Amino acid sequence: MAPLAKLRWGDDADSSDDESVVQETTSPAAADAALLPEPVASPPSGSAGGGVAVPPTHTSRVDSKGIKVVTTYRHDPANPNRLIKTTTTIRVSHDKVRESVDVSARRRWKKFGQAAIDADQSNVTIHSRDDVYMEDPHADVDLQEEDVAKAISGNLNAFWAKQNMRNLQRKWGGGGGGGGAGNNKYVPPSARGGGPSMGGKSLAALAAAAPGEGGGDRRGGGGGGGGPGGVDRDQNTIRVTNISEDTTEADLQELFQPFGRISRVYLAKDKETMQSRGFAFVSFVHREDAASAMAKLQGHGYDHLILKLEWARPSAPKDPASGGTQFRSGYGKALAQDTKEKVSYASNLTTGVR
Amino acid sequence: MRPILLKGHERSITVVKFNFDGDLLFTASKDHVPSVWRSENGERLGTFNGHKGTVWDLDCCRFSRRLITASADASAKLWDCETGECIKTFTHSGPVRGAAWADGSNMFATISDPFVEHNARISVYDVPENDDPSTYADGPRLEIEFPKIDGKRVNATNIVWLNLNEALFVTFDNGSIRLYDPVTGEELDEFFPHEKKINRVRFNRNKTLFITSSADFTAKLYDVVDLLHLKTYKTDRPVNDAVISETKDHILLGGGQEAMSVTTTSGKVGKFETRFFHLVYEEEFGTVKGHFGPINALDINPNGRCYASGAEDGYIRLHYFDKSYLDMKDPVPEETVDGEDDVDDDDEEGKDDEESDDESD
Repeated sequence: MAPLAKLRWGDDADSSDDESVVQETTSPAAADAALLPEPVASPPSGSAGGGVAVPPTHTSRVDSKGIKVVTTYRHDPANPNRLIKTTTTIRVSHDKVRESVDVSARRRWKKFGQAAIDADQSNVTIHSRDDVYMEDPHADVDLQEEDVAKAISGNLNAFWAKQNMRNLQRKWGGGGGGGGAGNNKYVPPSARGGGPSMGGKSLAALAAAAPGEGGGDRRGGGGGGGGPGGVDRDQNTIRVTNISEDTTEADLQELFQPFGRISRVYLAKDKETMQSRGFAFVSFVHREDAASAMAKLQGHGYDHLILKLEWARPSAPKDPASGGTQFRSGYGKALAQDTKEKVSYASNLTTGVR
Repeated sequence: MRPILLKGHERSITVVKFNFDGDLLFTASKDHVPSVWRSENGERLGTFNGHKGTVWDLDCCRFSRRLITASADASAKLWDCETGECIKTFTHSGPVRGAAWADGSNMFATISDPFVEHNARISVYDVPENDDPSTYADGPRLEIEFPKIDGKRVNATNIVWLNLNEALFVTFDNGSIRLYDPVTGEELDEFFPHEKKINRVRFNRNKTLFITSSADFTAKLYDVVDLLHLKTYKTDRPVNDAVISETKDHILLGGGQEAMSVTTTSGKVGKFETRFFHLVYEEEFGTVKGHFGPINALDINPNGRCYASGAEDGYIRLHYFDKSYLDMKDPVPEETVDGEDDVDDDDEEGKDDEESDDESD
C-alpha cells in the first residue's frame, strides 16, 4: 500500500503546474489493492452496523518536496466488513505573485449593476470544458477540403472521359442496333480500330480524351440490345442500402473485393450535391461470389450503420422496339424519347446511364 | 487551453479592452450595456447601465478609476469604474464612434459620426479628476469638424492620443489617418495606409508602434515617431481587430466575413479564428478557433498570459494561454532551400571571380 502512493506520484512528477496539483488515486485497481483485511488492526468495539470502524482521516505533513498524503477510509459498499482506503497525494506549492497595490485594492471592489442584481452568475461566466488548441494554419487542415474537391473533380474527369467514350460509341459504333444514325455511316467493328482511316480529327481528339481504347469493341461484345451479358449482370448484382453518406465507391470496392471479382460498383449520388444517396449497386462477375458476399455482409456494421443487402431487381423488360435505347434522359417515360432514331442525343445524363 | 465564455452580452461585441494592469476586462456590445469582468476568473464585476444605443467604444483611464463610453445614442458617458455610476453624460451631435483618454486622464476626446446637417467631428472635453464633476463643462473645449470631401461625408473610426498629448490620431473609413493638434485643432498630417476602411487601430503599451486593421484584408504595423510603414500582415478576409502582444513579438488578428454574409456560410469555412502572426516575419504560425461569427474585437492582457476575443456571435472568449505558448521560442521561418542555394551560388561565384582575377594577374 505504501509504494502505491509513491508509484502513483512518480508517474506525474513532471507535471509542473504552478497551482497546487490534486491527484486522487482512486482507480478501481487502487481501491482493490487497498482493501484491508477483514479485522482491522485495532477495531474499537461498539462500532455501528456490525462492521468495521472507520479510522479517522490521516493527513501527513508536507514533506521537503512539498507533497502531503491524505489517507481516508470508508466502508466498502459491497461488503460492510471491509474498508476501502483511499490515498490522495497532494503537492502543495506556493506561488509568489507580485501585484500592484491598485490591483489588490480592486479585488475588494463590490459587484455593481446587473452583476449585483443577479446572484447566480453561473450562466454568465462559463468555463468551457472543451480544450481549444492553437492550430498550425499550415497543417493539413485545408487538405481535407481540397481532397474532397479533388475527388469531385476526379469523378468529374472520369465522368467526362466516359461520356466522351459514349459519344464516340454513338457516333461511330452506332449502338447495338447499328441503324443508320443521321449522316454517319455504319462501320463494321473490324474496321473500327483504324482511327486514321476515318479521318476523324475530332475522333482523334475524342479518343485522346477517353481513357483506354476506343471502347467500340467492348460495346460490340454485349451491347446488342440487352444481350445476355446485361442479363447476367443484373442477376449478379447486389443492392446495398443503408450506407453512410461518407462512403465512396472506392470504399465499397474495398469492402466487396474479398468475395470475388467485381465488375461494377455504382453508388447513387445526388445530381446536384454529388452526395451519396445511401444506396449502391455492386455487380460481381460470378453469382456465387455475390451470394457469399450477401451472406457475409448482410447486417454488417459499416461506419455506424448496418448494411442491408438484397438482390437487385432485374430492370424492366426492354421494349424490343426501342432496341438498345433506354430512357437515357434518366426521367423515364416522362420525357419524350426519340425511339425512331437509334441515336438519341440525351443531355444532362447522370444516373442509370451506361 | 480551456477558454472562459463570457455570456453577459446579448448582441454582437463591439470592443474588448483590458485595463492597464490587466486585471479587468472591459467589454461593450450592441446591447447598450458595457460590462467589466475580472480577467483572472471571468467573473462579471459589473455592468454600466444607462446608454440607449449601441456602445461603439470605451476607454478606461490609466488607473482604472474612470471609464468613458461612446454610444450610438449620440452621447458619451463618464463612469466611475468602482461603483458603475454615471458621473456625467456628454451629448453629441451624432452617434459617438470612439473615445479616448488623454495621457494624464484629465481630458478625453471623442469622435462622432455625421448626423443630419452635422458633419463628423472630434470633441475634446476637460474632466480633471480632482475637480468636482458638477463643475465639468457640458460642451467640448475643442471641436474639430471633418468637412465633406467631394460632397461625401467622411466617418472617423478610431481616435487615440499620441504620446504626451502631442497629437490626436484619427483613422477614417476611407483608409486614411490624420493627425490633429489637440490645442489648436489644426491638421498636422495625413497619410493613407489602406485603401478601404480602417476598422481599428491599436497601439502597444508605450505607444511606439501601432497596427491598423482594415477591410482591405490587411493589417499594417507602423512606427509612431516617423509614421513609417514597417510590416504588413496579409489575410484572406476583412480584418476587424489586431493587437500587438506586450510580451512576445506576436500579432493577434481577428476578422471574418462581413456580418451580412455570415448566415450564408458555414462556420467551418467562415474563418472566424483568431490568427497569430509573428510581428517581424509576418508569418502566421497559429490559429485558435471557437467563435461562430466574425471576431470584432480582440485584446491581449498586458501580462501576456491571456487574451480575449469578442465576436459577432455575442460571446466573449477569454483564453488563458497554455504553458507551451508561454514557453514558446519565437518561430523562425525556415529559410527556403532556394534562398540557401542562391547564397551558396553567390559565394562560389565570388570565389570564381577572385580566382579568375588571380589568373589574369
